Amino acid sequence: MKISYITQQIRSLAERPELSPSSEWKARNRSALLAYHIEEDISDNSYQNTTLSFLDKLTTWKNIFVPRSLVMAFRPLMSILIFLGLAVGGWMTSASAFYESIPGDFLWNVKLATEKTQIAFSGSEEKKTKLHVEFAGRRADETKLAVEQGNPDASKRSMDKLKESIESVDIGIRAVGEESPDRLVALVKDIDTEAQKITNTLNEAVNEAEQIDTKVVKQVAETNTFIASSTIQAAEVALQRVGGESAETVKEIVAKNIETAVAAVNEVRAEVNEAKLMASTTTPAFITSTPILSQTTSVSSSSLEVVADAEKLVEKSAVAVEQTATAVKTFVDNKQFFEAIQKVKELQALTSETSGVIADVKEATKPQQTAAPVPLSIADPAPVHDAASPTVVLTGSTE
Amino acid sequence: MKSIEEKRLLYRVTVEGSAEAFAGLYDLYADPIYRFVFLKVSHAEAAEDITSEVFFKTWRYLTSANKKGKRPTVQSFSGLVYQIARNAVVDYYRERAKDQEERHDIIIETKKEDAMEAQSDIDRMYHALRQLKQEYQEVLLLRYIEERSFREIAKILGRSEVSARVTVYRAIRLLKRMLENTL
Repeated sequence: MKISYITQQIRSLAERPELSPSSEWKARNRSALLAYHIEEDISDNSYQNTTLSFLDKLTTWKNIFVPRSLVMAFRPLMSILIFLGLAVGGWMTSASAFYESIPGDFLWNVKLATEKTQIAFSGSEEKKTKLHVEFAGRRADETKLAVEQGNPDASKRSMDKLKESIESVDIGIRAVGEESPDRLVALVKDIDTEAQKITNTLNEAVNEAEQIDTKVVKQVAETNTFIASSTIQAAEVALQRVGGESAETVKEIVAKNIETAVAAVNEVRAEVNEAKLMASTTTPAFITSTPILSQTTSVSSSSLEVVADAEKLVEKSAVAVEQTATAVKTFVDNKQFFEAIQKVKELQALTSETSGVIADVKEATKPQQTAAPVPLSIADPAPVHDAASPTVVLTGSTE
Repeated sequence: MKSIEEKRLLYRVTVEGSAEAFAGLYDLYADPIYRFVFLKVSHAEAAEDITSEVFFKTWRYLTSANKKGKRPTVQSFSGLVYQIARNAVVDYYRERAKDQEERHDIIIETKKEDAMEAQSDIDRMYHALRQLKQEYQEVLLLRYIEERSFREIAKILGRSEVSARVTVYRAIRLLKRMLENTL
């Protein structure tokens, strides 16, 4: 029996009626599928609420229309071209747009791809680590831009990427410790300097913003803690690996970081007092309509609960911060650097947590500007906390 | 040209969530998927039910989005729909396995035997084909009934082109041996 005969026989199987669906069923099923399942699904499914960005559409187009083999073949070439174009080309306009792109912009993805290429092409672990630090700095700049533009989604994505870069720095430090310990101290010093710049940029983003989401304030506090913790961890790795004069240099870095952490405590202390003041003054008696100023300071009952809870937390956190700061000082005085480092990490986490609570208090006690004073009405459904004070007006949520 | 049209429809379904475009894909794939399923379950009603389910699951998959609002990455509609069909058949048998007795209820719809010799050969071929393991059935169906290229078969089965060629070759040889033994 020949193979060609067999293949011909298999082909003729297509003519067997049971191997084809009836045209009636096909038509019925098509209608049912479209009229019932799909239409119903369109109304229920979230896909209509999902707007695809230009980049998503482009990626989908590429996935469907461009063969994978072609993409794989051209990917390294494209990365090199972009990298060379940016490295060699002096087109300031495009370079500026490139560097100022933030998450959500098409160029931002190109920028990340270029950075990945740069890392892939950099030889030593030390160079890679330095690049990660540099890119973390770029993410901080992007965060600042995103905050200025009032784009919390972009600022969050930038900070997430920033943390990823910092994580890579942590890994890099350990690798450099293995590969070339003699280069470790200089690298830690660089990281320390750059980390300080990044923290300053992030703080500027928050302080200089006209309006900022509380979530973003908290994310910045968390990111700063993450950076500070990684910096001191880098110093710890170096301290474990080097001795003699180099160790003294590292100890100086550790001491400086401890000072920064303690200084942050003082700032938090001041903010705690401010928050406590805000919380204590945000009582029903304070929340009064002031028609003379043509504004109403109104706070919802849920905000009052936040303030009350936050006040307790602020006090609790403040005590913990004080205790930890004292422990750090004791360890430093006794030259117990490793123990001090551990305590500093705790201190950083506590100050970050307290900053988050302070942000909540600020948000809850923020006065709401309204165009006209809210008139007092007995029929007002909002709860009135102080019956003796007829001017108290509690409105709905401030959010 | 069919391939370009298929890609265009797939793009519209994925990006626009177009039901109309999906209907176009249904028209292209309803017969092949039914055949693919029927060959495995040998029951017309079950094949119809499974085929309906396959298309609905495919639609849901293509228009779904993850937490970040990203759509799934689909390069080939055929690869996706055959994969879903294969899984649906596995689910079908898993359900049936719960009730062993049902196995004996499988009705194989066969056309009344024709007196002609050629028809008898086709019957023998059909039954021999059904004796093959699933993998061989799939490649022979795709290669000779659906007339897919080795590259397409490789995509559908998620393997290399060389592996698809080798599997088709082995399936044919085994089928040949089986048919020779029945003569």
